[in-house]
Amino acid sequence: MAATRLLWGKYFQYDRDGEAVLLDPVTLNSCYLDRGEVTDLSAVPPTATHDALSELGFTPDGPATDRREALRRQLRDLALDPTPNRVSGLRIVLTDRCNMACTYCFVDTNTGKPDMTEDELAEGLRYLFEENADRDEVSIQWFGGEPTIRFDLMRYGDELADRLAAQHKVKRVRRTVVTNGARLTDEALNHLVRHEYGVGISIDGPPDINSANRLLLGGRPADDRIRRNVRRLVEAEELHVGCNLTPTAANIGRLAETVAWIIDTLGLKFIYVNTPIPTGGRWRVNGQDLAHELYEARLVALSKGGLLFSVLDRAFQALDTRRPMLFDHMQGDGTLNAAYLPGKRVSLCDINFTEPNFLFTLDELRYHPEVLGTVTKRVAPVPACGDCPALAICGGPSRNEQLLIGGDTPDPEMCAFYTETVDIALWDNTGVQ
Amino acid sequence: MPTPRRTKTDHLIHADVVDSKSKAGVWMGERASFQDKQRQILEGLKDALNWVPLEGAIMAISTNPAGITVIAPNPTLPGLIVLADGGSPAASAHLQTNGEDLVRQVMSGLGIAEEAAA
Repeated sequence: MAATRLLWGKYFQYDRDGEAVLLDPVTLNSCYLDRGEVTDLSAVPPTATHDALSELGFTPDGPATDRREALRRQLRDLALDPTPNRVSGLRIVLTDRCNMACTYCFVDTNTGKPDMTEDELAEGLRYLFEENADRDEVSIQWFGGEPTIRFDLMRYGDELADRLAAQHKVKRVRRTVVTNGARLTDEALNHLVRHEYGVGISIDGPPDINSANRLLLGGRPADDRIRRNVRRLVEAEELHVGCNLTPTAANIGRLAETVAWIIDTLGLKFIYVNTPIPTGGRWRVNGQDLAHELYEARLVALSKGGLLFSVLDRAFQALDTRRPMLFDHMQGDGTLNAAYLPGKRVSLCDINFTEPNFLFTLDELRYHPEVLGTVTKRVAPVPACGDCPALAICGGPSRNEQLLIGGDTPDPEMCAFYTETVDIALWDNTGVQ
Repeated sequence: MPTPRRTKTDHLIHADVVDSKSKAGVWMGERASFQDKQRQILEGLKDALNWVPLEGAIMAISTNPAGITVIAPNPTLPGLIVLADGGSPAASAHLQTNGEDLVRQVMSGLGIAEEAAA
């Protein structure tokens, strides 16, 4: 790991083996210095290195600025608005019933609450298409519980979505389903193929890892069944099948091996590693270790012809494009994917279905679109954010994280994670990231 | 001269990792699309360049130091081409040396003599 210090009171300098990288945490400009330049930098200015750095925008002078305020100004200059402008996609929670009982699930499953009705589903879809009339695309994601338990509603909703898309001149409907893969009927498979679904299968790794947290309701593992169903999905044409991998105590330390197994054994070449959610008030994984594991795992995936994405990519994208990447739950176009729940309620945070602050009726969203501001991120909410190199990449906890951890102060493991991602990304400027 | 980080905008921007979970399926759908675009771009480049196909190339991936090394049979001369891209200028040089050394080691193990340029 590189040692970090502050240069001229405003740039982070990462030293490693005599070389260094300089980072401006607000503009996200960074540059590399070789050994000679590092030495030159410590000499009495002006040296050739000082002059060259000045040309790149790294200067010792200028007013001392509040970096948090400077970031907010930067966001305004780049027209990056933290408030969503509309809902462009719905994660539709058809039921909380699930055939599995995963220990870390953020959804309260099998509570006995009623499933979504056809009428409720139709109203939610009508809202989505009305809001996005004449747009290029809306996205629909079936979610649960285990959404395939209500395959009848998925089929009904897909048929209705096709009609609404035509009626409201929406050019494309992106359809995805998040499933545990433990049940897949021929009828459902044919339907997924017909609508060119993206299928995200939640699986944590080989049986000894997966069964640590993901068991059927009766307590038995479902790995053989899941593997058979994954094979059927992978072999089907027109389907895009990937894996949603959750970092757990069982696979941390074995993430690269886990990813290799997913690619080699399951044949899934698209892997998304879920971001830890501080359910229970805190991160349950070591942030620094997780950052390194994600990096290693990504390269293992690449070496096997696979693609692995995670929140680590934020650091690479931000540094490479010089644009802050700190709005956790918004799409790149400023729109929001919200969760649509039974009872015609919408949660503006698609990974929290119970927090009253996020819950609205469809009419509230229709007639008071300003409520979208409820999820607007408070950028860098604590003074310590101003001293963090990940200022413009993390930006502090999201509204959801603040509610889960009970305050503005981020979980220390979250901070460790993001600062480590910056370190990793600064030293990897290669074309494959 | 200090080297600024290169600007790169060809990430899967549309995949939009900032909002991740809900878009898994979208990424999967986009893979075929971007690979098709890559093919189109390469076809376009062929019109603008003098080129030969680089059959049998491999890209080695390293984490320490971070970087990639493209190793390919030279299509017109004996020997292999080694092109390293590391996380920093020093890392690139390190990977380049490592790559060339490895090629020599493998050649030696196979009993293939290095051919001097005429």
